[in-house]
Amino acid sequence: MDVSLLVLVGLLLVLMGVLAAKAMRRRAGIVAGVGASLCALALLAGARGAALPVPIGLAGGGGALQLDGLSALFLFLSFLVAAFAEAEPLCLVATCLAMLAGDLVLLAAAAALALLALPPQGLGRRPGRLRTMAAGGLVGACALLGGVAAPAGALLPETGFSLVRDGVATLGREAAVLLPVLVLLGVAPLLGLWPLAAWHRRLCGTAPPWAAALASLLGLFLLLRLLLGLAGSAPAAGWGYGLAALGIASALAAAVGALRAQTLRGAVARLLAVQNGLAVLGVGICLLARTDDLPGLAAAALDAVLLLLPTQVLAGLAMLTLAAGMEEEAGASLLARLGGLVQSMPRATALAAVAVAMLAFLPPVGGFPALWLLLQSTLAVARVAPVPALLAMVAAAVAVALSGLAWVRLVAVAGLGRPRTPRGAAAQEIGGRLGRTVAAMLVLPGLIGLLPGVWLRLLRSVGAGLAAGVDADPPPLLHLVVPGGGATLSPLALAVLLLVAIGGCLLLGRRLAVRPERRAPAWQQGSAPPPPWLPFGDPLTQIGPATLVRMVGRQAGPAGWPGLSRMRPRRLRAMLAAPEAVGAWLLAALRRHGAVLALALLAGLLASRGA
Amino acid sequence: MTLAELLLGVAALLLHLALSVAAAPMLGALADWVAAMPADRPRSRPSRAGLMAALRRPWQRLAWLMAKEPVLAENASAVGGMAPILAVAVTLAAAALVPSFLRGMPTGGLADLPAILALLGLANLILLLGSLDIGAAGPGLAAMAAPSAALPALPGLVLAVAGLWLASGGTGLEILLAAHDGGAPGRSVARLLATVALGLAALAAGSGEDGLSRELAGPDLALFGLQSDLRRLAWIELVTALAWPGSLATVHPNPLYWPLGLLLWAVRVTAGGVMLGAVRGWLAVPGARRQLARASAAFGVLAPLLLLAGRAAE
Repeated sequence: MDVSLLVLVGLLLVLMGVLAAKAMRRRAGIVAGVGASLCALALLAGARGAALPVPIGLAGGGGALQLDGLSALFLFLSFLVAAFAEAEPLCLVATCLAMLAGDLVLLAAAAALALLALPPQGLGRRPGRLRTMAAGGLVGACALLGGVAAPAGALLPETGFSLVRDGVATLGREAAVLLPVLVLLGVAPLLGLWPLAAWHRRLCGTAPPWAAALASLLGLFLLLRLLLGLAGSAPAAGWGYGLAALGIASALAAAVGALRAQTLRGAVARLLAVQNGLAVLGVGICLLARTDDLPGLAAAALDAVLLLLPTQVLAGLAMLTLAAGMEEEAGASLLARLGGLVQSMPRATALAAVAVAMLAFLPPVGGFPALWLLLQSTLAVARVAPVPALLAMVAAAVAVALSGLAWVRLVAVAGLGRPRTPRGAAAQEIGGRLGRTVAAMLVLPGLIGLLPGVWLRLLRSVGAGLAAGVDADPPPLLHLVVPGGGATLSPLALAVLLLVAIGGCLLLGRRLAVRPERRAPAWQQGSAPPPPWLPFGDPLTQIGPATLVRMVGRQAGPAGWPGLSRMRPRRLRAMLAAPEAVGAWLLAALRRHGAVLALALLAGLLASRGA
Repeated sequence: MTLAELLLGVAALLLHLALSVAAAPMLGALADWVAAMPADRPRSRPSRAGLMAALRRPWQRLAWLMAKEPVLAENASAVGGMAPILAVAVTLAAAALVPSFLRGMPTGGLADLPAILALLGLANLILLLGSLDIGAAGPGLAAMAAPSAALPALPGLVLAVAGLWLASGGTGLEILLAAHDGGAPGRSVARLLATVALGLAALAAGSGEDGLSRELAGPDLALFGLQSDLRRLAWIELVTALAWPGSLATVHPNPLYWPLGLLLWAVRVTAGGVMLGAVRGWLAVPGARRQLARASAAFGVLAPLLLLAGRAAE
């Protein structure tokens, strides 16, 4: 019997076990760990798309659960998130069912259920509407795909994936425009893409840390499954450009938002959205390469997304967990009230520094190999479309640089300096168990950053399923190579070089430093000593979240580039607010006239099919 | 690769590292000497003795600072204490990847332009975190001025990398250097334009680091100075090697060409140091770095445009 089929059956038992553990009020972490192991086994065996028929789906469709490479990868990461962070069983099961779906009806139902099960339940008006809109968009996208794939004269649409893939060989013009719009309406709120990021910010800011990780996984999975997996065999010409533009705009907006964020988890949320924006850019490049029949470039862009994924999810989960712990201990979520946590929470701060190094794309490991491959893919696009590629590179580089500065601001304001409140000064270190869990979350991204080739070789089945026409040569184990062979990155060798350099410098520095160090009061630029009612010093003599932002804005903003200096701040704000207003209008229209719009959509589709 | 070739490669790498560490402080001194010339000696020619003394001075200063007692702020954490030495180590690793007088060193396979730029950026980020360690407003703001002022130079830097990639087909340094051996003249001009853009972006981005050292003293200040000099040397080696790859010898097959490579390396580095010193006064003028950043972006755009025009003409 096929290993994938056995694993599929095992995963169904695991999902039942997760629900049973909830019913028996036991911890489901171990069960989720078993699920992750099974998915790893499927990936090692090269998941071949084993299917298990289920009595769900429309007549004539191939209603089934299936386990292919893409499902196995995302299930592996979802179970890891659940094992580390004790995810809500219903939400986990719905997410896993969406990933296991081999049928559009099951996919739409499970994705909608997962969206509705994601915490927090008591959302405000705008995030609540975004959630409804996301569910509607996903159901609409699945319905559209099923309708397009239906054979001529059939009463009901086709819903099995294998039949849908064959049916979507040529998309009509209306469907080619509508499909990505519906898919993006569904996944943008999950990934925090501009301008529909309010729900993602709420997920990161108030929900348990696993919720944002599961939302990102679900969003990226649905994007890859619907646009690359099912409709990707015949992508329209504009899909790639549109997705790439959206990804870059989201990354830029999120990076600027992170620099201005007032709360710790709010800043982390936006910085995770930067990563999601870059992943969307990678998917856009992959679609663009498919349109232009460049299989090597498509494979490289997809590899970049696959490398980015574990860092974004697991290091992001670690960062959100630590941020929640720090906020709880320090009794404040505002950055202006956090400070000096490296003194009171050294273990948590050290772990946060490692997570930040991975998320901020610092070389040579963590997210850096993914960013490097994304850069090489964007460079390769310059051969096909030079001007958009150069603009995309500059914008992406600015977004990455701004996000790096935002990470530095976060670490400097919350971790370094002095405590700013009594409770912050009395903050206690995170527990040993939580520390070990967070450290375990960072192991996999660290290893993947060191040996990206091993990870990509493990995921060859994913690449073969999504990037059609990928070459048969397995990727090298120790380094990343771009398709043309114009560049090579060896993170392991670079890490060894860095370690040797650091070790040598430390050894030499210790030999040469002949005298012991002395501590002295820091000079406060001539300010008077703080009075007794300011036990943590005068805030005016300390750096704060606002001062750093002002400095970056003054140096790099309007003064740096003349075009921006002529732009009035009010006009700039209005320009930035315009897409948000369009998004709000769209939501309101959907709420008021949703049924009319749906009917118009259906009529348009039927008319286009009739024509 | 035979054992003899491996040993030769390792010897070349060690020589390269020793040269880099030895020459870096002298490069800074040369730039200082050139920058100070008009003020010091308005009517007289610079003397050789003065230059020799200026070249010896950074080493004397380094030894003097290393012998001083290290002083740290009361609330400084391990971040502040470790930052200077970590920054030196990261910069040294980046410098190990940039060929000085030889191509084909054992680190040649690792030398990729974006990776080198990222390592140099990482060193600056470590120094920035070290400066923000005690949380004092003055040093913190001065430290933040360096990276935020470098942001306008980013488009030029990215466009330069893109131009080099388009003209040479890769970002590996060995590929970039080998591409100069042949090819159409249009590509060579585009490579030169992109290299100029890279150099201008480096000047615009890297000349505002004084704020990072405001609170340092003793050995920490010595390490900061060494890091700063090493970074400047790595940039000069990188830009001049890309502009004149013929000046580099190769590790194999004949080590007898090494002295010639060494001589030409000295010429390149001296020219870079003199140029750095000559423009230092101008760089201090308000707005000069922004103009440099814009010029870098303009050169960076010109390189791909030239290649596109060439492709259209074909």
